[in-house]
Amino acid sequence: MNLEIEAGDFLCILGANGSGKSTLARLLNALLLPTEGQVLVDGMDTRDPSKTWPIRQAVGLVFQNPDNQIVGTVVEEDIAFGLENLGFPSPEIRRRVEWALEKVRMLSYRNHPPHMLSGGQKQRVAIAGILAMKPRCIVLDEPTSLLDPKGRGEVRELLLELNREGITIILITHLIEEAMLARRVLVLDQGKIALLGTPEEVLSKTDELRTYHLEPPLAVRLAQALASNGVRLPKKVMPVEELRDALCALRPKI
Amino acid sequence: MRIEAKNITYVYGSGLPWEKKALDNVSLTVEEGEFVGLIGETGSGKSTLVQILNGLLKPSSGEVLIDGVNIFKEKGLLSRVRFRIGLIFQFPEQQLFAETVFDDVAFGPRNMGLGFEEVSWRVEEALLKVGLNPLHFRSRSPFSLSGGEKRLVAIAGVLAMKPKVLILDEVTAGLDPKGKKEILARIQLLHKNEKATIIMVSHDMDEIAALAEKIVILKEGRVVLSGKPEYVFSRPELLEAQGLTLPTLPGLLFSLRQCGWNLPTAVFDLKEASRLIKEELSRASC
Repeated sequence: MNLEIEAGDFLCILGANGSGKSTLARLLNALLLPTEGQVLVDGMDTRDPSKTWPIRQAVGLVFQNPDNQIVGTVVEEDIAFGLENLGFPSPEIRRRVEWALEKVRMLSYRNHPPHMLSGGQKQRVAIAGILAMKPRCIVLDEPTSLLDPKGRGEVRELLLELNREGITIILITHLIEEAMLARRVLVLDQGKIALLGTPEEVLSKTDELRTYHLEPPLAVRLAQALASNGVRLPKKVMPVEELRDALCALRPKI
Repeated sequence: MRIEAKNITYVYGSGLPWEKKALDNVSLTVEEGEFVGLIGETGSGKSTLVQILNGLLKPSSGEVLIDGVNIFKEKGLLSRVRFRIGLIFQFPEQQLFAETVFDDVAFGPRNMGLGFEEVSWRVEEALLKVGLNPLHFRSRSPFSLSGGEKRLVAIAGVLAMKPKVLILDEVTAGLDPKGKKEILARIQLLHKNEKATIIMVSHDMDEIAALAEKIVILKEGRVVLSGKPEYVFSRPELLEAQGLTLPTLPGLLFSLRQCGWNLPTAVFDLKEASRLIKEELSRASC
C-alpha cells in the first residue's frame, strides 16, 4: 500500500472487519512496524528506534474504548499521565492539563473520577490526554462506536474543531455517515486501498461500497432513489440536513 | 408467557451521597410473541429495567409478574425465571470462558441438570439457530473467532437454555456493519420462526424502528412514550420535546414537514419515502 497524508488533512478510513484499518493506524505511530516498506512521519522513519518517541509525540492514537485508555483515578491526573512520562516540569504540566481539558470542554470535571463520567465524556477525556502532548496528528480508531448519539455528536464536533485549528485527523470508523465530515475518504479491502477520494466521490459509488460490505449512508441512498424517480438534486452525496435544504429549495413556495 | 412490570422504582446506592433513582414508577407489559424495542439515552435506565425483568435486580418498589405470578414473592422461582427469560448482556463475548465453543454453549443446559444427550442436542440446535455450523465450530476455541462470531456463540449459549423470552442489551454495539446485519437477521428469524418473545434494548433508533412491533421510550428512568412504531414515530413533536432523536428517515420527513411539506413521518422504507417526496413535489408544483 502507498498512501500520503498531508498536514491538516481530515482522512476517514472505512472498511469491513479485518480489512486492515487498525493495523494501518498502528503503523502510523510506530506501535507496529512494517514488514516491508517504510512509514515516514515528517520524514522520520518509524523503524528508527531513536525516532520512536518523537513520532509518538507527533502522532497520538485514541482507541475505541476509553476505558482501555484511561489510567488515572481523577480526570486531571489521567491527562497528566502522558506529560509526566515525557518528563515535563510541573507548572507546564498544569498549564497543559488545563488547556487540554478546556479544549474538550471538560475542565469543570477535572476532579471527577473518570468512571463516573458518561461514555462521550470519557472519550473526550481520552482525547484530552492525547491533546495535552500537543500532537500534530491524531489517529482515532472507532472513537464513537461505543457511544450513544449524543456522545457521538460531542466527539464529532470536537474533531472538526481540532481539524480547523490545523491538527491532522485520521478517523477510522464503522459509521459511514462520519465519512461526510472528512476531506478525504479511504476505503480499505483486504489490506489494499479500494477507494480513495473526496466523500462525494467515494460515497456516491454505492454498488461498489456494498461489495466491500459497507452500507452507503441513508441520505445517499434516498438521494439515489429520488434521482431515479426523476427528482433533480444538486449533489449525490449530502448529509441529511443538506438533503432537506436541497429538497425544500425544489419545492415552490405556496 | 406474558411479562408485566408494575410501577417499578429502582434506586442505586439508597441512603448514600450518590443515591440515584434509575427507574421511577415504570410499568410495561410484554405479550407472548411480541418484539419490543426499548430505547433511551445512556443512563435512562434501560439496562436496569431488563435486569429487573429477569430477576437479577430486585426493584426498590413495584412488582414483576410472569404469567400473573410475582417473581420476587414466590420462593425458588427466580432461578427458573432466569432459565425462561434469557438475558444477553452488553458485550456478551466477554463472558465466553470455555476451551471450546461446545463447552461454552453447553454451560447453561448443563447447569439446568440436563443429560449428556439432551445437552449435545441443544448445543447443536442453538449453534444452527445463530447460523454457525456446529461441525465447523464446536471444537474451536471461542477466542479464535471474530468479534461477530464470538457474539453469536454467546447468544447461542443463552438460546441453548430454550428461554421463552430473549432480552438483548445493545446486541450490535461495536460490531462492524456486516456483523450487525447478520445478528439482526438472526434475531428476526428467531422471532418469526420460533415465535420467540424479544425485548431489544438499543440507543439506535434506526435499528429499533426497522424491527420492533412495540416501542418503549425511557428517559431519566420514566416511560415517556410507548406504542407501535407507526404511533410513536408519527408523534415527532413529542419525541423532540424529550430531546430524543428520530430515526433518520422519519427525522428527515419531519424536518420537511416543518418547512411546510405535507408528509407522514412514520415511514421506514426508502422507496416509500422517495415516492411520497416525489408526489408532494409534483402536487406543490401544479
